[in-house]
Amino acid sequence: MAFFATGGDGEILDALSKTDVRAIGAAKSRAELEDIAAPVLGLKKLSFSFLLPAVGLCLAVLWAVLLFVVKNAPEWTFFVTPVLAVACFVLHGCRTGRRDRVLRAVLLRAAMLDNGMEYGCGIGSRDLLSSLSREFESFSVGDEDREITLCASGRMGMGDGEAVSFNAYTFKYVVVRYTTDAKGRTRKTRETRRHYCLHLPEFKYAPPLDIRSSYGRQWPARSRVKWTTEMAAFNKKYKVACSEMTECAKFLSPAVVLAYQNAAERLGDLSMESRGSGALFVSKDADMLALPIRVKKFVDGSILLKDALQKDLNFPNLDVMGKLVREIKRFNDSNF
Amino acid sequence: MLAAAAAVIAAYVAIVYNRIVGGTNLAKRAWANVISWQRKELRALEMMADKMREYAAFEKSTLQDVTRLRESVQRLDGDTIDVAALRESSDIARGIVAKLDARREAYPELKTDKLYLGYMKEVSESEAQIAASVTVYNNTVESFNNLIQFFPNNILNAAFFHREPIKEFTDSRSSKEFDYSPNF
Repeated sequence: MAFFATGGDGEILDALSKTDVRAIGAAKSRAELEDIAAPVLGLKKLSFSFLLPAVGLCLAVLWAVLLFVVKNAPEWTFFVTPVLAVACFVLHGCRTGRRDRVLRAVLLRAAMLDNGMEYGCGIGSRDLLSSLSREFESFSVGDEDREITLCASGRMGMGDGEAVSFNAYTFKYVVVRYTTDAKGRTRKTRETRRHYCLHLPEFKYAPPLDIRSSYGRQWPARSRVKWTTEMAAFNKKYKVACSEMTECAKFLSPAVVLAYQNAAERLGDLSMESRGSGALFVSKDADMLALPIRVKKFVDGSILLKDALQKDLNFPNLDVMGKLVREIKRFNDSNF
Repeated sequence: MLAAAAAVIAAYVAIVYNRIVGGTNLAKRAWANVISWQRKELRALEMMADKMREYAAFEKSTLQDVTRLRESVQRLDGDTIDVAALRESSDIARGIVAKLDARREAYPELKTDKLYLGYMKEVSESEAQIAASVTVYNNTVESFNNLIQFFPNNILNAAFFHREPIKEFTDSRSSKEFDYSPNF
């Protein structure tokens, strides 16, 4: 990695090579994490110089000039120049990619430790996916390569001393489309999509029901009785289906509808599947484990990684979900 | 050609009519929801007042307020949207909650009475649900009013349907606390 390193680049590359990303994920405490990430934490500068992309750009221009202007140029120049240009860009991309991966891993692990969360959900990802797709239709979307790429678990406080366990997943799948042009040629296109899920396996405060936003209509609702709330804006955005109308009416009280609408506004739509004994919230846009600080802030030097780690880190989207879950519990846990 | 244009216009008028009817019904349903939560709060307040009477932590005026609230809530009709009557009920209910809260401070034993605490929780939940149902009602009313006031539906409404905009619920007590009045 230190190849073609100039000035401060060498220092950054050296620090990155001494930092083990896997060890970051396995850190058991903030002190251990800071020890592992010490080489990166000591850096004051995290941005790479633009020498590599500049050289790549020059080579690309040279290639274009050779192609159109120079006659009888040696044949090898037509191959070597573009290869070197591409190599410069790839090398720059690899360096920034590695740096961002390390920074994200440090911040994610720190935030997880602060929130009492752990990686993994107890079972292997393939078993996990098959057991989840048996329970929730949201996992039956896509045509190929269904995969849980990230799984973290923890407990969410309910505000009255009680806590419910949760799992946050990133579910990746590929949608395959075949298009035929005017000449009858069929083209296959693959589109990778991600859904961010929050699974509450012991959540007993919601009856069996489905609340589906626009993307949620990709999967079929198990419940067949349709329900509309009293809120026109909610009805426009979401389709609700449940097993029994009375349960739906009781669950979707005005306070819950408003809380759901508020959470969905922050997270960019939200689908919900409940099976009575567990619930799943799915967002298309908002990663439940999105960090409060963007990695870019460290790269441009506006925040020092060392300073950021001095404070408690949280997951803003998870906090929004926590608020919704508490409201649902508050208004559906009354047996008085 | 003319027949096709007439058919398109007729279909559009039918769609707008159906949406107006659907909007009216949804606003009525939202209104009925507000009333049902108001009634639930009344029941909880009555039980809470009874419980406080056991501890003699009760004023005669509170009983009169509860009676006033009952009469006011009875006047609320699910079929007729009467925002002024709802405002009156909600003001009385707030007054009762404030009085009961003040009395409770003088009787620490009430704070450990499970039944009383249960009623208190129900009152607080009902209050939250009333606030939420009013927001829901206002949102639905706004959608309905937009439907009949936006162009070209406003022309169709004036010509055929003659529906009036529905009044939104505004909290008189809260708005009194702001030194601002909008110019619409």
